[in-house]
Amino acid sequence: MDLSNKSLALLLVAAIVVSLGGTLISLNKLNQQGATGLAAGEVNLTITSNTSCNIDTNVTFGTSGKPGGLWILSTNGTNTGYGAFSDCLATAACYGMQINNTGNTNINITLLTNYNASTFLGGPQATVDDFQGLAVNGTASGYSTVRPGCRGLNESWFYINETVRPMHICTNLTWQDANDMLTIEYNVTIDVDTPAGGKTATITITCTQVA
Amino acid sequence: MEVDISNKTIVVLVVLTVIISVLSTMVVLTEVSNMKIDSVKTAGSGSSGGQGKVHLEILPTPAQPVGGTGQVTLEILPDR
Repeated sequence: MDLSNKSLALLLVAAIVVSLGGTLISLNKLNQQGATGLAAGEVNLTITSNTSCNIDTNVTFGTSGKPGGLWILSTNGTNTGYGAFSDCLATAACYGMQINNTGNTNINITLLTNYNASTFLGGPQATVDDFQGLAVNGTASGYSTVRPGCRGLNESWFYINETVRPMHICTNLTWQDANDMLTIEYNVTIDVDTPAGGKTATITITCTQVA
Repeated sequence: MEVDISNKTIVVLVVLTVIISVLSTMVVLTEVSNMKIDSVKTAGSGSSGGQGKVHLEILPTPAQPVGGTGQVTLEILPDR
């Protein structure tokens, strides 16, 4: 069946009308969606502060025979010539005691112990300066250059003494990962009168959020 | 007898239909693209009436001391 040109013209006009109508409907729908896309959004993010610290390393000077004289062992020294005790510059086991701020707040660090030179080492010759500590910035192996975090640190030797409660180590150790470390070095003096045997001093580190 | 429409007129209508269809498609596509950009702009600037809010709050916790213990050890062997 052949269609007349008139019929074809009507169909084409209808096609034009449908195309225009479809376009208008599409634009109208898009505008409605656009209005929805303009709605305000809100993001809530809550972070809880966390005070946390960790003692990364203990200190082990090692084992040796009785000293023939005055031997001064130090975690920041080689201890060369002092029997078989460890070279603490090369032996990680006797690096200083690393304290790591693992939280997200600045912390105040104090030290408590029930030991002093006499109770730690024993013997009649032990004096208060035979067991000392020194706070230094950064990690035990890097000192001051690797992750130093303590602001206003007073780097001077102090006596480890149970009567000072607590001993103040650092008033403000920061928490950012690049600057969150502190090391306590130890110095122990033994002599011919120091009794043989294993000697252990327990050190308690307390971390408190800086106000 | 009724006069039919000429072939020339039909051709013109076909061309017109194609042009309108193509133009309509282009208009719709342009609007879609503009709507995406507008949405981003609105979220960022709020100049069109929309607003975004971000709340960041760091809650303090009670200052409970924490810490741990370490040890300093050495051993002196007895005389042989």
